Parts: sequence; structure tokens; C-alpha cells
Amino acid sequence: MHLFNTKISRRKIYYEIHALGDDMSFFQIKNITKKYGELKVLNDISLSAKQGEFISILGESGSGKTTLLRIISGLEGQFAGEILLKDRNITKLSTQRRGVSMVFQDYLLFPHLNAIENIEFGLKIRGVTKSQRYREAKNLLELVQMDRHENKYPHQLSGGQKQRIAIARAVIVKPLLLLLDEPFSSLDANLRVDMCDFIRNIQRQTSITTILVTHDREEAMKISDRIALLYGGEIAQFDEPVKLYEKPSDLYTASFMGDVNILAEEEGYYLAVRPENIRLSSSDREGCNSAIVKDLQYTGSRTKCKALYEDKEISFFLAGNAEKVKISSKIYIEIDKSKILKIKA
Amino acid sequence: MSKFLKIIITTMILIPILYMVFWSFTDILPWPKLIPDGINLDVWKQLISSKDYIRTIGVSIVVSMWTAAICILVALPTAYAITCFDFCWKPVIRGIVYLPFFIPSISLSLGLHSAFLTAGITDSIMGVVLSHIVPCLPYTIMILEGSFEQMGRSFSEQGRNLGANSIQLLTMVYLPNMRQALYLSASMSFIVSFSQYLLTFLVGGGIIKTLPVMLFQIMQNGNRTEISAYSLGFIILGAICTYLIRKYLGERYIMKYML
Ligand SMILES: Nc1ncnc2c1ncn2[C@@H]1O[C@H](COP(=O)(O)OP(=O)(O)OP(=O)(O)O)[C@@H](O)[C@H]1O
Ligand SMILES: [Mg+2]
Repeated sequence: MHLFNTKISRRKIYYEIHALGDDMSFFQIKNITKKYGELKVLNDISLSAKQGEFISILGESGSGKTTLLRIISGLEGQFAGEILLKDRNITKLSTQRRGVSMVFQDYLLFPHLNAIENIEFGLKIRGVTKSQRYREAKNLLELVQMDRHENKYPHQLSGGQKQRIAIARAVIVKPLLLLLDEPFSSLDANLRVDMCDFIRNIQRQTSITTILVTHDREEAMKISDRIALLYGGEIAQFDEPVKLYEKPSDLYTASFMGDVNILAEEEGYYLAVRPENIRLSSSDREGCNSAIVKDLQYTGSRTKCKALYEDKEISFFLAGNAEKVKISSKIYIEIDKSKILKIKA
Repeated sequence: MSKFLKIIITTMILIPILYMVFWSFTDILPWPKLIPDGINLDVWKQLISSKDYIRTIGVSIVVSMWTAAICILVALPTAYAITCFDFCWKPVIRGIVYLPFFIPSISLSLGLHSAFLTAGITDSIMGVVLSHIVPCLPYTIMILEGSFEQMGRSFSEQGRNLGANSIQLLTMVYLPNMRQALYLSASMSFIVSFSQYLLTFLVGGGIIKTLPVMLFQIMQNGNRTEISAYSLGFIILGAICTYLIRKYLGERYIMKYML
């Protein structure tokens, strides 16, 4: 408890705070395979999470992210593989008894209950007394900064507000594992950024091991300790955000995580470089190369420059509006050789 | 156009009722008069002071209330199971439940009558109620099933994920959101039971006298004024009961107390 800062302990959040455990096996899924008829949605997926870790599952639409979460939460039967949570094999446990809370893509607040009653739901089910559950719900309401909306019904709340209530409702039962399915997908751009920070904060304060599903790589990178990139029903790479970006295991990962310029191909490898490792240079500098500007895209703080370099189209960034560079003109660029990625073809 | 249609339809419904009102106050309405000359309250006085009539109302309401209540109690778990759970006998159960829709009511009534005779439960309120359940249940289940279907499985999944078992799901998630459907199905089975003649007559054996049975007797023996007054009484009572069911099942606090 001494790890609490005073502000949080005053709020009496009843969670034990653990430092990130070293135990890799707090949560594990092993060789999960799931088919819908002939369609193999998940193929031999294995993942793990330390206690208190924030994991993101990243993938395109239809890559099986929701399916994976539903399997973990116990809502989807008929799959192969094993799920372990805190030294228990929960593969065959019903969703009620897993200790896994899921926040669904569309919040699913109960329409007949107001905000605080929605939050209390899980405790009511567990037979907690009225005053006790009100107290706990009230604390969480404060934690998700919704104390002013205690008595509002779901139809009176905005998308972001519903989201917060749904998270509080999932957290109040003190799950071992919290699953969030695309929590930002129905929010507008500004709110997404807020909610992203917000969720990261809540997770830090409650230190509940969390798995977030998203198709937005920037959100995933900002918020996660580790990211699992799902592709074609398999995990393309499962690692820290930096590793996914700087040491992608294959071309799919490399290009999913950001723009990548392929410079050459040799012996089953691509040699590639990220745009930020290409710099504008001048003709007199050693090691510079010439390129022809094809297109310029101005976005305020910087301009994206597309150019033809040794018959290959590359892109990189110029600061500001890059007045001196003109389309079709010849420029000199410098590539940071130490940052060249070697990607398996 | 739609306004015109509305007027026509309203008139078509209202004119017969209007004439029942006229006829209940007079026994002559010579052509070409459209509105009676004087008002004669004899039949209404007789109707209100008739112990037989009051008792019949009582029996009717008791029978229909019981029917509605039992129908809801049976229909609720049935509809819940059919919509929210997967089991292999589902089409069979569905078939059985909706069978009364497809059997001609005369066969249904005669069949039930002979079955109830064998079971020895004819000539009793219980027998009549049980027989009424058969034609009422399909409506009740259909309405409730629609309501469960509409709420979909997601709320059930959310509830279970938060720890609710099937019973808690039903009482704490589904039912509070089903007031409309509950009221509809209760009033539906009430009305179907309330206007059930043949079954009541056969199973009740003339001993259990409900309003339709009484109306039928009056139609055979009575004059036009009596028939009009009794029919109006029937319509008004039916409307009042449906209104009360709506009012009380429709109130949020009642649901809160019930659950
Ligand atoms: N009940 C089902 N029956 C058959 N196929 C299904 C079922 N549920 C999902 N699928 C299929 O499984 C695949 C993965 O679906 P899933 O919902 O897990 O994708 P997702 O990654 O969550 O996508 P999104 O980002 O759009 O939410 C899809 O091709 C989908 O059509
Ligand atoms: Mg999804």
C-alpha cells in the first residue's frame, strides 16, 4: 500500500498495487485455434502477460481480435488451446467464474439503470450490501471523473461518458484481467486522445492487468507495455512497441507499424529505412544521394516528401513547409546507415 | 388521403357502437329516424342491479386474470429458453408452442373438452382457466419472444460476464427492460380469455358462467335493448381491465417491487 500516492489512497481504491511482476506466466494463452465452419479465424495463438501489464492486440478489421477477447472472457466456446490465469487453468470455466471483465465495443450499459446503478451491478450480483456497494461505486465514479453524472441514465450520456461508466462497471468486481474491445472506436478524434490517456491512467492506478484490442497503431504504441500484432489469424510479432517499430520481424509488421522505404532486396531480406532516418542534405556532403521530388504533402508541422531514389519511391519528412523544395526538382538526401532495417522477405 | 382513410375507419368502428348505445336506451327506432326520441333506462337499471350479472363479471375477471397470470409465468421461461439458449429440441418446442394457432378452434375446444372430461376437471374454474391457457399461450410467447430477440444476446453476455447467472439475468437484466412486452402479452391473453365462448361453455358446462356465455344466452332469449346493453357492458369492462393491466404493469415502481 505504501506505493500509493496520497491522492489515490484518499480515494480508497481497494486494489492492491503490485509493481510490474517479473512472472511472465500471470496470464497465458497457449495454442489457441478457432474455426467458424471452414474459416480458421485464429491459428495457434500464444500470448502471455505479466501481472499489471498493459497488452494491446493490434490488427486490421476482421483479423479476429474480438474473437480472441471473447475466447479469453469465456463467451466463446469450441476452440482448441489453453488459457491460464494466476496459476489456474480457466479454459473450461464459465465466464462468471473467470475473474475476467470485458468492456464491449458498444459499452452495453443497462438502459434501465442509471450511471451508479450500472456500476454497482456486479456487486449487486455478488450480494454486497447496498451501502457498501454504493460506497465502492461512488469511489469508482470519482476515479473515472463522472461524479456529476451519478443519476443519469445511459441515454442521457455521451459516448465518452458511457465508456467511462462501462469501464468502472467492469473494474468494480476487481477482475484479475480487464479486456477492452476497441474502446475508442466510436469516439471522435479529440476524445480518443483523452480517453487513451485516461485509460492508461486508470490502469496505472488500479494496476489491473489489461488487454486492449484496437486497429489503431498509434494508440496501441502510446498506451501499451507490449503489443501483439495479429495478421491472418496468427501473431506476426509480440513485443514492446519500440521493438515492433525498430526491429519488425517481417514486412507486414514493418509496414503496419509505420511508413517504410524499401531500398534493396538481397538474399531473402529487404533492406529498408523509416522516413525519419532520411534527411535532406546538400550536394557537397559526403555519402549523399540524389533524388527527384515527386510529391509534397503539407501537414502543418512538417511536410511529407515523396521522391524517386534509384528507381524506388521513398518518402520522408521535411520540417515546416519546406519552401525551398519544389516538385520535379533534384534534391540530395542522406540515409542514416545505422538505422537500416533488415526485414525477412 | 391517410386522413380520409382514418375518418372512414373510425366511422366504421364507431357507428355500430353508437347504434348499440342508442338501442340500449330504447326499444323502438322507426325508420327514417337516426336518433331515438326518448330515453328508457330500464335495461341499464336491470343490468346494474342484477346479481347474476355482477357475479358473471366477477367470474370472467377471475378466470381471465388467472389465465393471464399463468400464461405469463409459463411463457416467460419458455420464451427466454427459446431465444437465449441453444438446445437441440428447439424447433420441436417451438412447434408445440405455436400449434394452437394452426388447429381450428372447434377441434381444439372439443378435444380439450374430452380430455378434461377424462381428467375430471370440467365444470370448475380451474378447468376453464387451464383450457383458456391453450389458445392464449401462443400469443404470450410470441410477444415475449420478440422482446427477448430484440434485446439480443449482447446484454445477456455482458450480464454473465459481470457474474450474473441465468435467473439473475432474467430478473435483473431482461425483465426490467420488458415492461412493454409484459403488458402487451398480459393484456393479450386477458382479452383472448375474456372473449372465449366455446371453450368456456364446453369445459365450464354452463356452470361456470362468464360474460360471453351470458351474452350468448341473452342473444338467444333477450330483446335488442338487452343485447345492446350487455354487449356495451362487455366492451367497457374489457377496456377497463386492459387499461388497469397497462397502468400497473407499466409502472416502474411496480416492476421494482416485483423483482
Ligand atoms: N459468429 C461467427 N460466425 C461466423 N464467423 C464469424 C463469427 N464471428 C466472427 N466471425 C468471423 O471471424 C472473423 C474475425 O472476426 P472478429 O469480430 O474477431 O474481427 P475483429 O478483428 O474484431 O474485427 P473488427 O476490427 O472489425 O472488430 C471475421 O472474418 C468474421 O467474419
Ligand atoms: Mg471487433
